[in-house]
Amino acid sequence: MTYTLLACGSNGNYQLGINNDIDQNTLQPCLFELPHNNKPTSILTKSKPIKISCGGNHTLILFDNGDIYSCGDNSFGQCGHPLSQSSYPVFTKIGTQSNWKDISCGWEFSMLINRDNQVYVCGRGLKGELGLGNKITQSELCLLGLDFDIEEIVDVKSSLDATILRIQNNQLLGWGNCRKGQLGKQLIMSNNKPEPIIWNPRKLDFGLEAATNFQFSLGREFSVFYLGGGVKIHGKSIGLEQASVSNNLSEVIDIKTMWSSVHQIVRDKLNHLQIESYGNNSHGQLFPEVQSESITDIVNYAIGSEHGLISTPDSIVYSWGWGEHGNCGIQQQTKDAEDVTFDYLNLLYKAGNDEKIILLSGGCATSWILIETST
Amino acid sequence: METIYDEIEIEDFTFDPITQLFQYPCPCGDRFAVSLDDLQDGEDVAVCPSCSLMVRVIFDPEDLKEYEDQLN
Repeated sequence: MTYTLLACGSNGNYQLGINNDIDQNTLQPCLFELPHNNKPTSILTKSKPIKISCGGNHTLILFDNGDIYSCGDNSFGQCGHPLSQSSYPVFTKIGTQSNWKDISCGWEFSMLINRDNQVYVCGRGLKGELGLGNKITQSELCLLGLDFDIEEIVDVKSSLDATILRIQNNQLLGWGNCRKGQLGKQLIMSNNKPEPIIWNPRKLDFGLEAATNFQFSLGREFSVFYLGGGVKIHGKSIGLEQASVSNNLSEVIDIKTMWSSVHQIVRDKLNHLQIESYGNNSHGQLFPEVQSESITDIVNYAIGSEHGLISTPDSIVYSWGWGEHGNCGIQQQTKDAEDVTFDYLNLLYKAGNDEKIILLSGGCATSWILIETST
Repeated sequence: METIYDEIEIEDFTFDPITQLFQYPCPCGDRFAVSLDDLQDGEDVAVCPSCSLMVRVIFDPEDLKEYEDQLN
């Protein structure tokens, strides 16, 4: 098997890893600086990307062998590389460790989790994003001390300016901007106001004690939890009122957030995936009504800052939402080629006979498609 | 017709006393920006230099005092 990662969209700081800083409205192969190769390559044979996480202007990719590669803006060290180089035009391996198991990126920072359940942080965070206390707002890659009994870090999610870790027994730890209540119950400060920032990691209280399991997503100014019967939003919930409640025959299997909308991935009674969206629809961000009978099911899905991607069983990738930087591809269905709103499913990629689409990802107006080719 | 993409409270912007700009991340990767001068003149829209998105700044005129104080 070989793997090729394709990307398009916003690229002003080399965040697509294609060795230039020009926005792209057609998919381009991402380039990797691999050991023992003279020049960057787009063909990956030894290991496979398993997660792509995007910050405001930087990108991290986790591989199944425990490597992490990054590219884009490194002005504050957010790529995990030394500050001596301020940007990385192609994907470059972070450090010498190869035992990473998870990643998440925020606006100008990154979280890296290793298989020993240690958290490393890098980048800049003026609102507690690094979790290193109120004296340290910028750092090269360093270990984040956690004063908790951590048996396992199950999940990590970062938004623009906050991070939540899910550890054993569904306990949640978090830090960063909590001004809107997106990190749960806020402590009251000495001036009788709720705290705006959690500077050091601590256990979060979302009133979930009784819940045995839940799906959640950390949005920009809110967090959203799905607990069996329903959805609960913490933080700024204006505009996120659910237009339609999913019928109780469908099961919510995942919950994702754009910056101003919520997207529930549901399995219907025919065992097909669907997306139910609610929130801001200023640029077609809510999942469009499917017009075509050819789209009966969803295989892969990804939610970016204000756009989304799906792939279908016949290996076609469609985009929708706000596509001003080329992240939704080229308008196929519009009266106006300059229109930045894609309020329909726009064809972005059709896989060839020997190709399989195995991963999609969406960042800040960036789109990512991982292709597996049988050789 | 101009469309306001979102409404953001002034406390969520970062203020730079040197440039006198309020900035807030844009979903394209750049930053919405509006100057203290503009807010003093009653303007309340921050624009992104890289795209067409705009946000409305939510503030009261008296909120500006703490930022004006940072200039001295």
